[in-house]
Amino acid sequence: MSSAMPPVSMPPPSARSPRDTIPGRRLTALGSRELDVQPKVGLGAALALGLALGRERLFRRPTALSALLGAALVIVGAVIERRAGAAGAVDRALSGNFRLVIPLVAFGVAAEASGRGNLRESVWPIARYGASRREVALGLVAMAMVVSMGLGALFAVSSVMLAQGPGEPPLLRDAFQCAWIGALTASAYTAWFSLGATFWKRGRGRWIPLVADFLVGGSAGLVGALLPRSNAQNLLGGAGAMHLSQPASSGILLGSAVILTFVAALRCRR
Amino acid sequence: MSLAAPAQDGQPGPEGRPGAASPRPMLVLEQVHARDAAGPHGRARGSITELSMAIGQGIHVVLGAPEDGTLALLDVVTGVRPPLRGKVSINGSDPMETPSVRARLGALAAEPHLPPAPSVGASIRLALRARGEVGHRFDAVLDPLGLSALHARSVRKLSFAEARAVELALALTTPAPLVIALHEPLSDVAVPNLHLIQERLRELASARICVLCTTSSPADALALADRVHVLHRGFLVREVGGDGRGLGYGGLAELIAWIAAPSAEADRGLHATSGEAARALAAAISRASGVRGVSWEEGRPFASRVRVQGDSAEACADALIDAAAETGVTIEAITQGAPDLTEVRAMTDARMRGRTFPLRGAPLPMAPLLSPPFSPPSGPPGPSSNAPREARSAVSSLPSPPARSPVEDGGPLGRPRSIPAPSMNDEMEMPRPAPVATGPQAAPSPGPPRGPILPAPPMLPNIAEPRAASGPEAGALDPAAPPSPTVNEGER
Repeated sequence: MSSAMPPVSMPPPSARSPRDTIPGRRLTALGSRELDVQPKVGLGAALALGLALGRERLFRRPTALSALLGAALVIVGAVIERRAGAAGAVDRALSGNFRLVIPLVAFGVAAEASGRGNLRESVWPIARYGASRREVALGLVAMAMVVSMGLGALFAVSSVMLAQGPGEPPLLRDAFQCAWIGALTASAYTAWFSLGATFWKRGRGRWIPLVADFLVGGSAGLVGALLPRSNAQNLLGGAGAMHLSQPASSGILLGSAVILTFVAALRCRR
Repeated sequence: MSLAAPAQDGQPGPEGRPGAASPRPMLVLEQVHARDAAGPHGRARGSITELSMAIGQGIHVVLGAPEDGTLALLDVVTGVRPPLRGKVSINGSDPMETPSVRARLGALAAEPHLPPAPSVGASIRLALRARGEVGHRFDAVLDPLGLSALHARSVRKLSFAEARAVELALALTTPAPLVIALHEPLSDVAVPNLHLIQERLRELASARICVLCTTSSPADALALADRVHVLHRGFLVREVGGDGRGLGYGGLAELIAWIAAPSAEADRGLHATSGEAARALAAAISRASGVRGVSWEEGRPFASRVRVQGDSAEACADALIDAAAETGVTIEAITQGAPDLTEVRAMTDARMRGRTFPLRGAPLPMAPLLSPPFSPPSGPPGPSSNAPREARSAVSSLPSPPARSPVEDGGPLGRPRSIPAPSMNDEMEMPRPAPVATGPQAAPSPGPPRGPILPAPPMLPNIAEPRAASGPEAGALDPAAPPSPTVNEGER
């Protein structure tokens, strides 16, 4: 028979942390649950949760591939335009960039952020535990907007730098201007697609603003004035809808980005 | 290991401690119509129709297949989607619209939806932050159920059962819970020891918390429940006690004893195989008093089993133990017998066919929603409460259903008729079932507490209790009679 076991030494109660396993306590014992109600999750905490959710969904391979694809299109387009003729190459490269690459990349980013589904359902994994759907959605769309803005600015600057030739405006000034135009345009697109993602199953409503932008976004009427395409053209020096000034187009893009984001969050209910 | 005793002062509210001195329903559904989206391409797999229930503390199990509406029920209770019609309230607030209620609602859905994160630990931290809990307590969530090994795993690489296990751990560790709503808590969860789940649920029920489980397994229902509510094609049609009497056709308690083949040479002197041991055990049991039926099945190469039916589980257990001692047979395990879902459906169908109901549209006198001791709340309702006025003023009756035009019903008023067995595609011609009034009459005692079977509403047939074998009544159905040959329900 074995000799008697030596006494087990235990730290004094004051030195124990809640994570220590007390000898004699079953590992499988369920801990006691307080019955105190936890404090409500505030707006800041819910926004932070939405940002964390967006970061987890966006900083993954699909978004990286979309960004790489967009970058490839931008680079190829800029090189082609530069070789086609130095005069106006930057304008042509930027035009192709803003008509095709930025809307599609913003669409991809918005779709990934909402888990390729309805925005309201995409925030459920966090909202089910007590955070407000609206506030988490706000954080989620904000993160998507930040990523889109970064990519939009990057693509615009890339077009300027690669297509730059003699007779073009100064490089740094042109790059800076195109960067903020690209960021503003991408943010407006993201807000439109996020609002669309609150409609229909699996967020299929996000296709509506994309199709509308391609079909009538460049028109001269009211619809064109509301959609990002013609306003971006106006800011890049082209003709805008309803003869709007460039500050007005900036205001419309900024207003779209802010208002539509809040509307999308409100549609997510509490 | 026990829960702290609930506070005895004040009324419970969204911000107060649960478990006030006077119990009141924690979860109320009023005339709820809802569908789930669990079918292919987001289509509905099941739905619930005009479902009304009010449940309080204790473990309530809703038994039915997803096609009967269990997923739809859980969706509206947990706030996943709003009901198409009707109201759902937890402690007076709509879980769909009140994040603070969801923070105190522990839920396990059919499909796991963990917060996306690089690891399970990070996912749990997000969930704890969403609940308002601070601190690194992810181990306090996983460790008690033996899930520590999952902490560092990637959320995306978890299997279905593992993800459900993590969700279940989160649900069972909800702080200050109002309601715990679980779908199949004993099925398809990668928890090493399922008894821990049962223990925890008992603990929660003892602390006056409302536990609602949905399952399609009558065995799981009987293992967990204080009350079993049968959901049949979207209707909550009957209720039985936790002992399962009246759930299937048999009104007897049943135990199943498993006998393995004797391994040691010394043991083989009595019975060479488990089949022989089972045969001997069955013969000994058949001579015991209190036993109404016994059968044995030889399992090759697995264990053999003996089924014993009697007036009560205690009588069956006594007979088993005495017979095992007499014959020298070693019983490996004993489980409670339970009908399968097909038998439960057949019993439900047969009872419903055997009744005549008043014409649809005639205002039905509603039974009291809750029987005593549920008393109406004495104070004014909280500002966030959106309970209907009837529930606030007197939690004793549901509002009467709206009267319908006889033209809509296609028949004259006042003439009763028998309603044929419903089919899945039929427009529901069944009467609105009586609201299920539940709740134990007293605080549950240690061991498996069993609630009382509540009295039936006066105007509707009593389908909550098995009928006594007395003289025949019009439309009566003897539960001990063999099932009708026309009963043919689908599998679960």
